[in-house]
Amino acid sequence: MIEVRDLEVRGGLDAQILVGVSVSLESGRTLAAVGGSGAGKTTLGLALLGFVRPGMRKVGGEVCFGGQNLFELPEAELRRLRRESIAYLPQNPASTLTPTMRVEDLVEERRLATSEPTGQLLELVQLPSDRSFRRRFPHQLSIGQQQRVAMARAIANQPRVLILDEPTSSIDPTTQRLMLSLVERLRDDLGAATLLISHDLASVARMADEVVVLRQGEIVERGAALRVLHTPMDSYSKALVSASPDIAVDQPPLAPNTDEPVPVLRAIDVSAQFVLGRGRGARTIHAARNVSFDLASGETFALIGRSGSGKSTIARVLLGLHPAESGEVLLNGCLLPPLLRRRDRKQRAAIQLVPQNPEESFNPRRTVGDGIRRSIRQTRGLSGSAATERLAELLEQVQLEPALARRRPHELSGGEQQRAAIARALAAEPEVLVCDEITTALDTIVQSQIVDLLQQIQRETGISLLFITHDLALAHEFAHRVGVLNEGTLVEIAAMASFVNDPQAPESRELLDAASSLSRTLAARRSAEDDLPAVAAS
Amino acid sequence: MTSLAGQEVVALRGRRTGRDRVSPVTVVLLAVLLAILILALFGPAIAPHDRVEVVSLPFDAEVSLLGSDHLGRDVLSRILHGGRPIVIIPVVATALATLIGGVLGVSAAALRRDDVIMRVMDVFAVIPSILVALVLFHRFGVQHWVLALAVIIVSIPFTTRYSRAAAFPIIHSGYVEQARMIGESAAMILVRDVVPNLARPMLADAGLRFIGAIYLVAAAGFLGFGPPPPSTDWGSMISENIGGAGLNPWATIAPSLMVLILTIPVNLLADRFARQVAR
Repeated sequence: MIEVRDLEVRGGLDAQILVGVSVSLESGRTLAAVGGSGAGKTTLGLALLGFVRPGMRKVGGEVCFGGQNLFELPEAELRRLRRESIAYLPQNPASTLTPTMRVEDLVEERRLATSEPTGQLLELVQLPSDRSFRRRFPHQLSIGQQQRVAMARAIANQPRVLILDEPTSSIDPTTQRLMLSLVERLRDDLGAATLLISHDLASVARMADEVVVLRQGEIVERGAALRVLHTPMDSYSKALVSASPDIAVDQPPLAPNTDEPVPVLRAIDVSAQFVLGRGRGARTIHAARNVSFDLASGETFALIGRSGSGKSTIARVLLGLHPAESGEVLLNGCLLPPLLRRRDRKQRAAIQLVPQNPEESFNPRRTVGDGIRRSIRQTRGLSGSAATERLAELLEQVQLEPALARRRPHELSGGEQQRAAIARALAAEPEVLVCDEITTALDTIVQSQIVDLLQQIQRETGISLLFITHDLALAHEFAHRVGVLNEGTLVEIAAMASFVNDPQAPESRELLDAASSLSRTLAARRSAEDDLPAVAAS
Repeated sequence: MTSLAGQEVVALRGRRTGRDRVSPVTVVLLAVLLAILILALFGPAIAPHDRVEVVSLPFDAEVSLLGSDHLGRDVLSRILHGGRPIVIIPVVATALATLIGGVLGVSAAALRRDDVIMRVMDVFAVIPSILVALVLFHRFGVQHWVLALAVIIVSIPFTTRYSRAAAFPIIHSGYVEQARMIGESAAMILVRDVVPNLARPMLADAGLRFIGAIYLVAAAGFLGFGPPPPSTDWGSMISENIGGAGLNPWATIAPSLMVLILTIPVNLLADRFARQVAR
């Protein structure tokens, strides 16, 4: 259907983005491209549209569709192909919607004469098709509805090639299932060829027929999806598969590192809210309702929930960044003043944050080392050579090369930025480290390295970790206990091992079902497709 | 062969981590700007004649390089004398407007309720700039500082609005929050985090304001509100000599060109700067 031959793309400073990549998408089949960040997955996906991002250029190779090399087509012809035959759904599908267009116009724009009417398309993505809904603008829709409208647009032109770029990273499980069924429909009815770009191996195992593993622009392994994901040959593929968090893999029972668990931090009946919007349209969001939990010294407590369940607000209340409506936070049995400016130096140092976006948490005009030193000076009162010594210690503790501390934040990779942020938090010698979705922006290999680092630091220092995440599979690898948040309420607190085997609240069961598991998905697919050649046991 | 390519990549990568490179176009623009600023400031010292000295009959194109003006004075000398007000007034006024607007904008961005500041600015923003200048002239007379004051008053609403928009994401950024969490004082956060990150966008905006200021000064001169004789400026020279454009066109073209040569490099530099900021 569409074929990429020997594609070579270079970026700024002649950096290699893709090197000699050849893949071919077959009608009715799904090919998955997996790999860490910077592997060139998105560049490959965009190349199928005959597009290379500004700052990059195609050096060699071709992309053939219908006997034509896309890169040699005139712009008008290329645009026609993109409109009529190839659909691309980017990482954040809602971002493809023009804010000033109504729902019906957004879908109509993509529709061909032979497509279903707009109303039917909306019903296909399980959206209402009545007039009032069709007249809405994107900002009047929920995120999930926006994603569905974007999907309706993607299928409106009955594409023959469908490119999905990290479709599951920002989408909740229900929408994920819908997307999957839409892809299947396109494949079966129209014989569409699909390229799935993802670092979530479980969703790849569910959807893909074949897999190519990309590493720094090169294909290091290719083959049938079940084979590659079950018995990878290449060392990088092996690392990818083993780094992929898996809820179904049993973890050795973890005990807190201290003999008698003394609560370091206690949240008692904490409620918090914030106001969204202004004036008459303002809405009050109850982000936390009577949330109570303990955090013992040397313990990792995972706070799990969907986006919007109030996880981050609770973290902000603990840190004194958000006023609690009611309730108390105790540190070592002493009441913490609710607001940051009322806390003294010791209290401030005791709870430190590792943020979701580490790059944004460092001043872009100063070096990363400077940011860490600043925390050393403010929280420990060290300066001059004492601070320099401490900085070197911290960098070693987070395994960051000293030379990197002289760089500015945007000059570091995502993993390095996160290490620097951890070093800065440790500079305060805190008792509690609040990690707010710190692995979301990282690929699975770097993600598991960061988690290993945190565990090692915990063993060395006995620090307590509050690990906030929506990734239950990842949390279950190293958290001692888990708390499940649903719409601001803690619905369950349990030891991780018993939680995984026997969840109590219905919301917990839902989360467990949705949690990513490569082994479970592989097993399910293998039993469903008995006709496939048996894969060798590892 | 391959090792050569590898070395190249390493060398280039090293450059990226260094300071931002300055493009040759920027250098040329800066040189032009600097040259005209020096000419404007030190022109009176090198002028062949005094600004009021009559050297020939009116509009004599032959008498010197640029001929004579409507009263028979040397155009070249008057060009060299007339640069100061049109350079100094906008520079001083833009600097002050950017400073005041910056303070107001940062305060507005830092305060939760910023309606008071911004609504007052909105009221000022709708008054036409030349009207402000005329009212002030009527009240205080035609003087350099009044012109500067007019420029400041008409610029502040825009510098405030711009600095508020530029400061808002900085004040609510992760790094300012991080600084607050370790107990850094508001003054230190302002000095270390806010001002350095705000400086570039504000400078880009100041460039555009500067051009607006030049045009206001030139327009005031053209409308006859230039500094009183014997002093002169390029704007008044254009209007004084426009009647004799057929006899000695240079008497009008030369001051117009000077305004252009002053504004174009500033405009282009501000654009380049704004693009860098956006990146």
